Amino acid sequence: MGTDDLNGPAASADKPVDDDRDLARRASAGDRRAFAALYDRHLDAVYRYAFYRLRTDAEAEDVTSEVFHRALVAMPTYEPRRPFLAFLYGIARHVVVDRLRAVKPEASFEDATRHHSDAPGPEETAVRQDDARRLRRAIGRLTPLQQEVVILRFLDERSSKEVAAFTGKPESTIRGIQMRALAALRDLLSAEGEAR
Amino acid sequence: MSKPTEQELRELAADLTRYRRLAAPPAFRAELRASLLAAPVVPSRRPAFGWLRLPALRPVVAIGLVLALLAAGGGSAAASSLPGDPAFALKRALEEVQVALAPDDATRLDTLVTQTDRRLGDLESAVAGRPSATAPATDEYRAAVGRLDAALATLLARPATPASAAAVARASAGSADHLAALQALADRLPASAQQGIQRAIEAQQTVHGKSGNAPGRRGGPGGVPGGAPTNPGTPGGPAVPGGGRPSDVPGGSPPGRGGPPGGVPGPSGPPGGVPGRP
Repeated sequence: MGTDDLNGPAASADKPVDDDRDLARRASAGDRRAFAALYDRHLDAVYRYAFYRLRTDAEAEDVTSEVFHRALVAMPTYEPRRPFLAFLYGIARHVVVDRLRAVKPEASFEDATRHHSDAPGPEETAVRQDDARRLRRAIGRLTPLQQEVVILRFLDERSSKEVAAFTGKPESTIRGIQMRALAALRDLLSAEGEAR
Repeated sequence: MSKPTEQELRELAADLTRYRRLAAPPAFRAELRASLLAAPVVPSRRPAFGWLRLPALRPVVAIGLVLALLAAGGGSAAASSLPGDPAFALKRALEEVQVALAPDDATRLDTLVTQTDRRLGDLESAVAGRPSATAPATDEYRAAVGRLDAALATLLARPATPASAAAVARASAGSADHLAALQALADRLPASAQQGIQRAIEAQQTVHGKSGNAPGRRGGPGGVPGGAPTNPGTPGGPAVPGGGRPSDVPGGSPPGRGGPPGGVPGPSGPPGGVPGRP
């Protein structure tokens, strides 16, 4: 997404929707390799969504796994006119909400983020784990709708229109939410930076 | 905090773009991919009367069936028929029309809940007054629960709406009633019929687990006779056989940290945690 205009369209031309449609059609007919190709294409988007909406790396992996297994089961009923990624996000949203309900409220973000591993991995490059977790903590303090808008709009390059379709809100509402979410996020990140 | 300027928000938005590179850890990616490729084949859930889903044909078929019923005077016979009766096929055909005419997924789920209620009534009638019909009634009940399960999965895979949440809530409540009724029936049935009724209970537990765990539903399936398994294990929790979300994956729950319930192995977390991708 170009940042010159916060409300501008996302540069999502690299998402080959037509190919998705063909792959999804084959996957819904039982072609497991087609499903694997869809998985390869969309795993990171689903993982990012789960990572920034949940509290631990482990939960993000669990949820990502559950999303794709649910999608595999639901493929025979998949409606090809619907973008496949929207289909995945729909499942992810349900699974995340489920997971958040199940999490004990007394578990702190700090406890949770220590669960899996705080050691830098070999894949660590452009995004430092600490930075990503810091951002996750801040995003976790936004409202659920603000979280979705920030994640989809800025971390996954979705257009306002796509986010509106996904959340079921008018596009104008999404624009308003994204501005408020960014302002809140800025304050949260600043406060956390001062506390460190 | 001071009110941020639009320029500051733009800068923050620009800063967020670097987090787009966050990718799933390679070890997790590989393990999940392998488990998906190895997962059991999912049977097609297309209904036997799938052609009725063609919107243009629906009114024609519905009117045709109603006229045929009126002409044959078979409506009441069909309504009171039990599985195994010749008129039962007509009853089922009408029910398929009802499902096909449902304008949306939530209404379709409600329709299927009602039809599952009818199949439970059929089963109870068979057990009470016509033991020879118990086996076909059990089979029909399971088939109805299977259709309900498929519709529920479809609904849950889409963004929630107030209507869909209400339909899922109704399905969950109905499912709890069914489990209690089935358990009561199981206590009355002879040993020869136990296998069938237990499979019916398992099918209904699948629906109950799914609807009870749906967003907007409180709690799981606990407290229900022979209650379904609960959610997958929490991070770091013990592996509990059968502890996964029921029925989402044939043969077991998806792999996760709760432990694989007899299905595919769960991907373990990579030692490096969450990496960034260059």
